[in-house]
This record gives sequence, structure tokens and C-alpha cells, in this order.
Amino acid sequence: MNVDQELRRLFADDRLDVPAKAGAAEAVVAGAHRVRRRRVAAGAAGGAVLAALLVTGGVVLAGMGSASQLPPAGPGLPTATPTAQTTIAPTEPSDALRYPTAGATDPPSIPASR
Amino acid sequence: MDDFAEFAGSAMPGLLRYGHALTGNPHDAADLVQGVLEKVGSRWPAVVRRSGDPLAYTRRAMANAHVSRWRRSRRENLVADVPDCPAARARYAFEDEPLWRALRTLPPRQRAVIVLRYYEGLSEVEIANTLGVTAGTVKSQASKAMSALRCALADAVDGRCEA
Repeated sequence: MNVDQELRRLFADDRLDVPAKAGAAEAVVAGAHRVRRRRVAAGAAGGAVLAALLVTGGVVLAGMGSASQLPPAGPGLPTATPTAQTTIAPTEPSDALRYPTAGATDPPSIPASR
Repeated sequence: MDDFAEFAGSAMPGLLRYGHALTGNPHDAADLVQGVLEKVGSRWPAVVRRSGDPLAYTRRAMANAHVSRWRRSRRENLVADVPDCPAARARYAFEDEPLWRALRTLPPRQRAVIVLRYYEGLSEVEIANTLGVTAGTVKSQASKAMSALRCALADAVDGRCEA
């Protein structure tokens, strides 16, 4: 059986015809109007939502910008604190640290252990 | 919109026939034609301006809508009630055609390829453009479909399928 020929015969068959119902074309035209209205409404709603989002976003961004704004630095504000200058005056070394020199008294004797 | 009403009225019989070939039954054909024509009609000026041939555009849209609809609905065929017994329904015109029954078993894309090839007479490249796939895909789908049809026909004639 030749499938190519069979397919051509089948697709040329009159039984493939489907009778259109009365008023089918009018129903299709009405449906097209309905689809179009729905699409227009969806587009308008989407546009409104987008506009609302843009406005909200703008307001939020503006609020964040004003909150983070810092006052300009004034000229009177010191940028470095003056520190007191300290000088270390030379001091006389104490007796304990003084190196023994000639003529000095002997160091105290260490008592003998028992 | 008057143009579209005229177009819908004149094109509908041919589109219903084409839809019958695509879907495999007259009820799905009517649904497919109505859905696609409504969408085409809702953009009628743009369709006429861009396509130049609204009828060819509508046929392409039907082929694509048929494949897409099957993709969406193939997971929705679980039913609670047992379907009507075939004997209770009116006898379908192609019930006794083994080739028609075999066509019904094909996946929609393979069936669309066969319909576009043998009903529309399109080439592989034209079918590829219509369905938005490569020519290689069309070739492989057509090959698989023809093998399945040959197998089903051989099975119907002598109960043997050598595929």
C-alpha cells in the first residue's frame, strides 16, 4: 500500500468537510472584539501599574536621598586637636642607681645566713 | 472590521476542513478555528499589513496553535468519569479508515508535518518556517510519522508490523 497516495486520497475526501454552524462568522467577529477589548484593558492596567511603580520608586529614592544627605563641613570645625608639648627635664639619678665611685661609702654588708 | 467579517465568512469552510485534518475530529477543528480567528481578528489591520496573505497566516497560526494546545492539555486528560461508550455516539465518518485511525495516533507535531506536506502541499523548508523548527526536524518528524503510518497500515491489513 502506497502511504503517500493514501494520504493524498484521504485529505481530498469530501467527508473531511465540516459544516459551519449558522452565525459562526458573527460569533468569531464578536469574539475578536472581545479579545481586542481584553487586550486593550490589560495593556491599560499594565501601564497604570507600571506608572504607579515608577512614581512609588521615585518617591522612595527621593526619600532615601534626602535622608542620607550630610551637612557641609563648617569652617570653624577643627580638623586636628592641639596637643600640649611636654618636655622631659633631666633629673638627678637616685642613690640606688648611682655608680659607686672612689671615696664613696661601702655598700651595706649582707648579713650572714644562718 | 467589516473586512475581517467578510474574510471569516468566506475562509471558514476551508479552515474548518483544514482544522479537521489537523486535529482529527470536527469538534476540535471548530474550537481551533474559532480561537485562531478570534486572535487574528483582534489584530486584523496588523495581520493584513504585515503578512500580506491573511489566509496563509491563519493556517500557519492554526498549525502552531494545534501543537501548542496539545502541549498544554496533554497533562490534563485525567477524568473522573468513564467516557461514553463509542457505540453510544453517532458513527464518525472516518471510523472505518485505517489510515485515519493511524493518523490519530501520531503526536500533534508529526501529524501537523504530514498535514502540511500532503494537505497543504508545502515543502520541507516551508513546513519548517511554518512550525518554527529546522528543516532537519521536519525531515525526522516526517520520517517517524511515515514509519508509524506504514506500520499501522500493515498491522491493519495483515496484522504484522515490521518496524
